[in-house]
Amino acid sequence: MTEEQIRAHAARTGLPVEALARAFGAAEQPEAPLEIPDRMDVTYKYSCAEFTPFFRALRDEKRFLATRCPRCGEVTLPPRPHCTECRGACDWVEVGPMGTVVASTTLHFGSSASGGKPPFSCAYVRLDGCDTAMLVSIAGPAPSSGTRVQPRFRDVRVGRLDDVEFAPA
Amino acid sequence: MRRVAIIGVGNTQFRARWIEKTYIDLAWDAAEAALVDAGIGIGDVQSAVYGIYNEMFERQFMPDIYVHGALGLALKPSTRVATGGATGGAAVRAGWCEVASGLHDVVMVLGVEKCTDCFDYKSQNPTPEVLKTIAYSGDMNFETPLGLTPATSYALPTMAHIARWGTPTPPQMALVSVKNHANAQNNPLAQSPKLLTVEDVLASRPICDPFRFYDNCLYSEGASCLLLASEDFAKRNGRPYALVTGIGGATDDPQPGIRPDLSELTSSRIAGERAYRMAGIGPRDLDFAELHDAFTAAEIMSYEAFGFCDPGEGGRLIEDGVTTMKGRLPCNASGGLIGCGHAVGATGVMQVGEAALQVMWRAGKRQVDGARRGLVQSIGGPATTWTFAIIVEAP
Repeated sequence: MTEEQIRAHAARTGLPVEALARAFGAAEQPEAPLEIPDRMDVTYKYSCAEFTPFFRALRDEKRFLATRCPRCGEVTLPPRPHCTECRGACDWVEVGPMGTVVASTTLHFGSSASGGKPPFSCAYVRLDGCDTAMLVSIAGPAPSSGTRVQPRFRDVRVGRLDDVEFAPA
Repeated sequence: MRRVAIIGVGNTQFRARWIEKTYIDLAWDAAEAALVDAGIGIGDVQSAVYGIYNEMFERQFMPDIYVHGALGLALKPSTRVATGGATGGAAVRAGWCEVASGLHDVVMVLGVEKCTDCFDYKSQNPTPEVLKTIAYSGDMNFETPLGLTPATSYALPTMAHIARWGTPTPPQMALVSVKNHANAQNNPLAQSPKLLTVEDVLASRPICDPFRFYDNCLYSEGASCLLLASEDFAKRNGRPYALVTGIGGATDDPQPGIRPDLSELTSSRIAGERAYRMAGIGPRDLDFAELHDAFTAAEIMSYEAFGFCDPGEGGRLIEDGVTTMKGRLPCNASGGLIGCGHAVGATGVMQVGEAALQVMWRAGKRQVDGARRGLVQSIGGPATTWTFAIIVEAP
């Protein structure tokens, strides 16, 4: 691919010229299939919709809200707006902030959406007052099952689950 | 319900990259091979079910219609199935329903997947972008923002199993990797035939605890095709065939923390019970199994889920050699996902095809002696959300 073509691809795809030059800089083999850079992109302004109370409480108040079925009393996180057993609408109750590790792992290799984080850990944690476990980020090494953990909130929170990570209490 | 036969099996090789073929041409190759194998023409195919997992891999939404046209099936009915890693198993189930119900006599089930057209320009490597694409299948509000990879999906249930039972140990997991890489040496389709030692596996780099590099399956490109027909059609066709005698499905809660027990493969246990009941058999009646060894521990936990041994005893089963080619119940003679590869939509179709070849005694160097009945497991989704268990038997 010529430098001119690489610059044109950069303009059309939004991919950086240097990265394209590294991938396409070598001389093309005439008998090899032709390779072309591309991307499939969608940008969003998504609605948290029925989950709004959870994410607003996390972002603005550093609190965890879970759903509770007023009939059977089951407290669920990740939240469920309707009880799968009783079929009725749930209400919101505060849970945590402390919790107990159910299972944990450390990732040593990430995806291109892991933000260069590896190694990093995550765990299913049952927050106090909750009947179910939620996946959360863990600061440092993965704590063993049964470990008590507490949250650490980011200074600037945006309303996503990565606003918080947990560490052994 | 009518009895359903597998009358044709066709595959491409599973490779890290098929740079010379789109998913459409891979599908063509597998379909043509299956038609030749069955001794029928494309005009005999009345309907098609496509198993294709991920639009981003194919760089095409609704990828199935482009296959359908290129195969020369325009105006025949078709559907696409997508159930993550279980896509192949679900496609077989959907095709089975069309034949068993009497809707059609001959149905093509075609699984195909690309993946390494994905490319991460930052690291100049496909892998991080492939993993990101798969990670979009996790819960986008409550799991994916943590930057996870598909490995966590199996690692966390494995860690829960280890916390409960103390197994599988790293050497037990390594034995599965050694077995499946070695079995792949007998499979001309396989992407990763290798003679490894337990030490090689234990010395490979950590990926996601407790998994090391050789505990992982490969991601692959490839296609696999089955032709399903009523048994009446199969008899008239006059060629050897296999029968699908049991299909069990179970789809668990996709948020694993909500499940009552993370330490077992619940969907596999229940799908297996349903498949056994339908076929009127139990685990002791099996001659072999093709399991969804996305990670070594998943195979070990599947031994337990399907009743090959008691809960917590799966690690001992591989230590005792029961599931090796020389054992009482060979598992993954094909090499499985670890040795043969994981071309997602194609994988379950390939494994059902492998079971059909085994019971027709056409499996070449990897033939299980006297095989008459086998179990195929197809798993997909976060922490094995979907399982389809499929029993294949000689007529």
